[in-house]
Order: sequence, then structure tokens, then C-alpha cells
Amino acid sequence: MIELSQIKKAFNQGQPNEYWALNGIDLTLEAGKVTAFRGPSGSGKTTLLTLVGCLSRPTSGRVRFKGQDISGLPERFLTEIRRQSFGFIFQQFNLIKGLTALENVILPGFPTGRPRAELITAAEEIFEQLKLSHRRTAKVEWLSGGEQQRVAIARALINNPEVIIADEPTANLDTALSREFMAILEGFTAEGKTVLLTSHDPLVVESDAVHRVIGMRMAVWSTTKKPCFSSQQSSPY
Amino acid sequence: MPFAVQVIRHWDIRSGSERQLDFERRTYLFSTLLTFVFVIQLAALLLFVFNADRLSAMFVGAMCAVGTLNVNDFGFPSLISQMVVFFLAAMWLAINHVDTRAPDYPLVKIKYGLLILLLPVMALSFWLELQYFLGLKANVITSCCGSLFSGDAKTIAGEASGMEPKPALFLFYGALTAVIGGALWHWKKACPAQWLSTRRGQRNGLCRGDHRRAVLHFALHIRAPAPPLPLLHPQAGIRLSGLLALFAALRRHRCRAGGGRGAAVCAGRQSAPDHSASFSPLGRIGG
Amino acid sequence: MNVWLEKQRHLIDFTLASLARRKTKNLGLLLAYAVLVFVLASLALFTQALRTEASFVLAGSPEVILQRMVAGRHDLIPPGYIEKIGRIRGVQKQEGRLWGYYYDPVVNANYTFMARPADEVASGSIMVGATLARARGLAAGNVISFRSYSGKLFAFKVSAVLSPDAELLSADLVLLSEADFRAFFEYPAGHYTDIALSVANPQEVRKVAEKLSTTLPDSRPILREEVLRTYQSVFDWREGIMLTVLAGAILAFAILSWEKASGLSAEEKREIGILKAIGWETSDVIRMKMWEGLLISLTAFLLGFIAAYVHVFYFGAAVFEPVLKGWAVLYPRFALVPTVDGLQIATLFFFTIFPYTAAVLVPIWRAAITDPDSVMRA
Ligand SMILES: Nc1ncnc2c1ncn2[C@@H]1O[C@H](COP(=O)(O)OP(=O)(O)OP(=O)(O)O)[C@@H](O)[C@H]1O
Ligand SMILES: [Mg+2]
Repeated sequence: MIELSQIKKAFNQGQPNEYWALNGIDLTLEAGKVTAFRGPSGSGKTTLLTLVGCLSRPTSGRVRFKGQDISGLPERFLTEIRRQSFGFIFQQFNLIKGLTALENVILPGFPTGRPRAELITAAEEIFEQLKLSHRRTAKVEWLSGGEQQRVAIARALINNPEVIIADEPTANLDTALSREFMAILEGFTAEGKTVLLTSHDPLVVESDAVHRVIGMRMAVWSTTKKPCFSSQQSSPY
Repeated sequence: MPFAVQVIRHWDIRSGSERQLDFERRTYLFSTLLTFVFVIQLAALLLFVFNADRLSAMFVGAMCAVGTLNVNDFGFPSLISQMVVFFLAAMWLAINHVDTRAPDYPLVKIKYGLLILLLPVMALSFWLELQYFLGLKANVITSCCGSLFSGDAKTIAGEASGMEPKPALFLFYGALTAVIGGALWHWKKACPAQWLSTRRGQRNGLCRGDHRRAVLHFALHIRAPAPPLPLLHPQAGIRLSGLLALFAALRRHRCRAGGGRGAAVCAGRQSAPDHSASFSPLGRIGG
Repeated sequence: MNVWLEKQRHLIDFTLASLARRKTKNLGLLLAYAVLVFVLASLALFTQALRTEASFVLAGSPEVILQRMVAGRHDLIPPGYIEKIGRIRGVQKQEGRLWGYYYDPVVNANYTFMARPADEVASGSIMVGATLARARGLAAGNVISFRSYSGKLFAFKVSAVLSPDAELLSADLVLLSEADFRAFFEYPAGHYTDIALSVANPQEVRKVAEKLSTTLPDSRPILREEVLRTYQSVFDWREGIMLTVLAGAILAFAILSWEKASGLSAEEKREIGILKAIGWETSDVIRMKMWEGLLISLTAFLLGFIAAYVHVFYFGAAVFEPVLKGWAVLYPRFALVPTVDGLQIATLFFFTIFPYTAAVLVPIWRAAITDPDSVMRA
């Protein structure tokens, strides 16, 4: 579904503080699976997710999404793909303060021009699934961490994307909430969605919900099939 | 300006470099700025003409906008340059619109080339306008409307509708031709396989029909009067532009009806009128 | 099209919500903006009303006034002068007029005395302008006496106070009969101050004036058209001074709005980053910000303009009166006839929206191109 070939990403290219965060990555990610990236801090996990999720463009190399080369597309077109096909869950949740949970959730639907009523119905359905209906009119700053997390998830789902991208989704959650999050993830796979996530959290990386773990090293990378990390887990690989 | 030159020289859509990203983002700035210029220019043109008409009371012999514009040498050049800016901005926006439809921005060099052209024109227009307004001094005797309108059917209105928008129209169509030609050429260059045969080139994902789409889009723009102005028929174009206002005003104000409304109103005010025509109130209010 | 509309609705919704979230900041801007519009609109409405007033008044006045010049100075019309004009084609009526100034030491003001035919003002009685009547506490039926320049005392009965409709121009006017006028000023018999000619066809006015200056080389014809023009430029000149002062204010405002827009708070920057990450396009953000600017400027314009309207037409432009009308002793108080001119509103709108939009354009763009991946690295 997503193929990366010879991906390199430089920051501040051509300047003295030039930094190559990714240096020649080849990788194929299957549809309908949960893939976790792990590796030391600064190894470029977040950078890789932004490339895959159409948030930025590689300095060189190709990214193919469902057969289409997206690495050379201008932002305008990347945004369109991102809007339709990717849902994002951020570590900091990144909800907009002062708006209610519901208003936050329907925000990604605005540029699509879907009628408001339709967006709200869709949002309420998702709230229902995430057991958050009772908090939908609350301002997000009054919500608990777990509730905020679920609002963020709901927002990622509103445009019904095929791929969910989550950067350190559990970093701000306690163990119980992290488990709950993993349960929600399993629901996504059941629906046929692809999930990409990064995590330091063994609870996430080693959970049953994760089908594949990819280890990252500083500016070099290695991909490892799950069994190499932990043998107790079942894996299709 | 140097930026536009840089874009033309270094534009490379395939690159993910920060400079390329910066180029692409600047495009938003220019399209926003030019939309602004376009809207402002349209408004300014209308206001310019209508206010010129209104101001005619200030100038001896100027009974309408033509008279006001003739007050100094910069009136008509300023009007024309404003119209040129308007058309150029409209054209740029149309090109930009088409260009950003295709993911590889096929018209980008043309776009920035036009921008380089547009900047001095805008500066000139601004300078002319400034000169015109600075040169406006009330009570300067102008070539009277009477002489302009006098004689045969060849009035200034006829003259202007025949002449003035022509350079603008010419420019517009000329640039359109250049743009389409450029697009075709680019298309040909980028996808030779496709150009020569109908076989779908599969060399990369981008080449597929995008240029063709861009050109088609452009053609649609020319057919449909929606975005710039219905310029296909010069008459229609003129009518829509600020000139309509000018000529309507000219015809209406050809001769200012002497005190028709005022007299009726003043009839009810017994004594004041007689007095006020004397010099005394003038001296008092003016002094 | 529908999608486009729906999208704009969403953007406006979001804008309204975000404006409401930053109330104090936006209210401050709104207020400053509205005050600017208020000042400019008051000025425009006021001068416009004055101009309308002046042209109303002048519309009924004679088309041409003929003065006689002696040694380059305005002199009396000697007897027989009117007859010398003879018949000029297009002139309907020609008559001598009598008027002059009188200094009243009681209120330290100059009055304009003007003779009227006996059928309008009876001998021994006068009609006075409303301002003068107020200054001297006069009403119809009162008797007032003036000491003439020769030292004699004349008593007049006030038969009427002139209608305050055009008080600006009739403020200091005293109308009296011809006999009284000649007696009061000891005006030589048969002489007149000037000659009024009415010309029916406005296009003949200039021709008439030319003929007059050839038949009477020592005369100066004054055209109503010219008087009107002088009025226009007088008001415009004053307007110009005010505008220069206001240009400073506009500049200050532009800077203010620049500050406001460029000094995007960290919070706002983060928001835009979030919006971009979740699928808003750069042009969506620009459009959203444009809506914000438009909403602010429209509201401010509306508020400012309505306030200016009330100020000018209901409170008589209290703020500007002293500047615009001059510091005349006999200060006319009059209700301006509400006149609103579409072109004027459009021009005003243009000149208030323009600097604001121009000032915020670049900052808006700069905010809108925030890296969409910036939120991933918080
Ligand atoms: N905008 C930027 N400018 C300069 N350097 C950057 C930028 N973004 C990331 N980097 C650098 O790129 C490298 C990879 O960053 P990235 O965020 O992808 O790491 P990570 O694997 O997600 O780390 P962590 O586990 O700490 O989140 C880091 O060294 C970082 O400093
Ligand atoms: Mg990270």
C-alpha cells in the first residue's frame, strides 16, 4: 500500500547546520495492518511518519501511496490526499482550546465542504463508538487526558481515512488508558484500516494488536520482523 | 522581482528541497496579493471614474468625467494603465488557477514571467495616478466637454470605445496565446511519448494527462466568461469594465440640467437664495 | 459551487468562533477601526451635507451677477448702467441689487443687510436670519434699533425670522426694504451694489458672460457655476486639512493592524499548525484569515458609519463644527438634511478597508504557510 524507496530527508539543506534525519530508506507497508516504529530518540521516526502521511516531502527518493507517486506533489495536492486518506493522532493530542469536543472533531471535514449536519451526525456516531457521547459539548480543555485522547481519535476518523498515523499515542496516558487505546486500535484493523505508529512504550510495541515492528537506528535503519523482538507474540510474518 | 527570476531559473518540482518548498509557498503569497490587486483595481477603477465624474463640478468646463480626466496630461494615461493592470492581474490569476490544477505546475515559468512584467506596469500605474492627483488643481480651465462633444458623431465616447481597450485586449489575447503555446510546448517536451502517440505514458505518475488537463482547463477559461471578464466580444468586455461607467456618465452628464432639482426645492425657501448668490456669504465661509 | 459555499460557511463558522475566543484583542482592534471610520465618515457626511446645502441654496440664485470694477475694485453700479446692457439673447431678467455689511458692536459681528422689493419687506420692518435672531434674542414682532455708520439710530420691527432650513447661509442676514436700505447706509440714489441676471439655458451662461464683458469692459461677471465651484473647493479644502491630520491616524491604524496580524500569538500559530496537519490547505487558512479580516472590517465600518451618521445628522457634527465652519461669531446652528451618497460610502469603504487589508496580507500568508508537520514536534 505504501512503498518507500531510497528515502532521504535533510533539514536545513545547504546550510551549515544541515542534518540528514533519514538516509536512504526502502520499506513497504501493507494495508490493513498495525505497524509500529521504534528506535532511539532522534532516529527519525516522527520524520518518517510525516513523509508517509503527506505532511512533508522527502529531499530525495520516492513515496508511493496506492501506486501513486506522491513524493513530488506540491503541498496543495498532498493536503488533499492527506485529508482523504490519513487520520492523525498526535502525542500532545493537539486539540484546539476553546472549542467543544464536537467542534474539534468536525474540523478536518471543513475543507471538504461536507454539510455541517452531515459532519455532526458522523461525529456523533464516532463518539458513540468511543463511548464519549456524554462529553461531546464540553470544551476540550475541561476533558481528562483519556477523554482528550479519544476526542483526538475521533477527529482522526471523521473523514473516514484508510490509514491512521499515531505518533507516540500513549506517551501521555497511564497503563490502563494505553491498553484501552490498543483495544481501539484492534477495532481499526477489524475495519480494514491501516495503522502506523511510533512508540517507546513496550506495552504498545509488544501488544497483540501490533502486527509488525520496525526498528530505526540513527540515520540508518533496520527492519525487523516481529518474532525477532519477542517470540511470545503471534505474527503473520 | 529577483525572486521571480530565481523561480524561473531554479524551479524544480521534483525536488523536495526547502528552496523548492519556499518557491511553492510564495506562489500562495503572490496569488493572494494579486487577488487583492485585482479586486482593489476593479474597485479603484470604478471609483476613479465615478469620482472623476463627480469632481467635474470643480473644474471649469468639465461637465463630466472626461473633463476631469483632461484636467492634466495624466488623467487618461492613468485610467488606461489602471485598466491594463486590471487585465494583467486577471490574466495572472487565471493562469495561476489553471496552473495549480495540475500537480506539476506546468505554467509556473510563464506565471513568474508575467509577474516580472506586471510589477513595472503596476509601478507605472501608481506613478501616473499619483501624478494625476497631485496635478489636480481646482479651477484649472480644461478643454471643455463642449468641444469634446461638438460636431459629428465621432465623439470621444466613440473614439474611446473603439480605441482605448484595444491595447488591453490585445495584450490579454496575446498573453493567452503565449500561455497556451507555452503550455503545449511544455507538454510536448515533458511527455514526448504522449505527444506522439495516444499510448499512455507510464514513465511516472505525473505525466498522465495532467498537461492536457491544464490546457483543457485553460481552453475552458477562455470559453467560459467566468473568471477574468467576458472579453470575447470587445463590446461586452468594455461594458463590464469601468469604461461602461465612464460612458454612461458621459452621456448622462453631457449637459448638466441647470438647477432643476435645486430650484424646485429652493422655491420653498423664500429669501435665502437671492442673498446667497451675492458675494458676501462666500467671503465669510471661504475666509 | 455548493461545496464551495458550504466550505465558506465552515470557514466563517470557525472564524466567528476564533474571534469570540480572543475577545479582548479583537474588540480592541474593532474599536480602533470603528473610531477611524467614525471620524472619516463624519467628515465625509458633514461636508457632503454642507455641499448639498450650498447647491440647494445656490440653485435658486441668479445665473450671473455683474459687478462694476473701478481701479480693479468692486464699485457701485451707477445710474443708467443697467440700461447700457441692453437686450442680450438668453437673458430673462436683469435687476439691480442692494446689499452691504453692517458691524454690530453689541455682539461683535458683521451682518449682511440686503434690500428686498417692497412687497416682500414693508418699510420700517426687517426679516432676520435665525442665528442673528438667536444672538440678539429676537422674535417676530420685536423692535430692534441699529446705529447707522453716520451715527443715526434706526428702529426696525422684526416682521419674521428667516426659515432655519439653510441657516448656514442666512445666519447673519437682515432683509429690509429698498427705501430703508438707502436711508440706513445713505446709499446714493440710483446706484446699486451689483446686477443680477437670470439666464434660462445653462449652456448660454458663458456666452452671456462674454457678451457682458465686451459691452461693459469695466464689469466683472460672476457665474453661479463658479460660485458653486468655489463653495465646493472651499469645503474640500477644509476637508483636505482634516484629512491630512487623519492620514496620521490611518498610518497609526495600519501599524496597529500590522502588529496585530504579524504578532500572531504562539497559541494562534499552534492552531494553524494543527489545522494544516489535519487537512486544511494553505489557501483554506488564508481564506479563513481573510474572512476574519473582512468580518472585522465590515463590522467596524458599519459601526463607525452608523455612529457617524447619528453624530452628523442628529448631533450636528458636534466634534467638527468649530473646525469646519470657521470661528464665526454668529455661529449657525442648523440641522443638516440627511443625505447619504452611495459613491461616497463606496469611496470611504475603499479607503478604510484598503490599508487594513494591505497591512494584514503578508502576515496572513506567513501564518498560513506554517509547516504542516510542525505540530508533530511540539
Ligand atoms: N525541522 C527540523 N529542523 C532541523 N532538524 C530537525 C527538524 N525536525 C527534526 N529534526 C531532527 O531530525 C532528527 C529526527 O527527528 P525525529 O523527530 O524524526 O526523531 P524521533 O525518532 O521521532 O525522536 P523521538 O523518539 O525523540 O520522538 C532529530 O535529530 C531532529 O533534531
Ligand atoms: Mg518523535
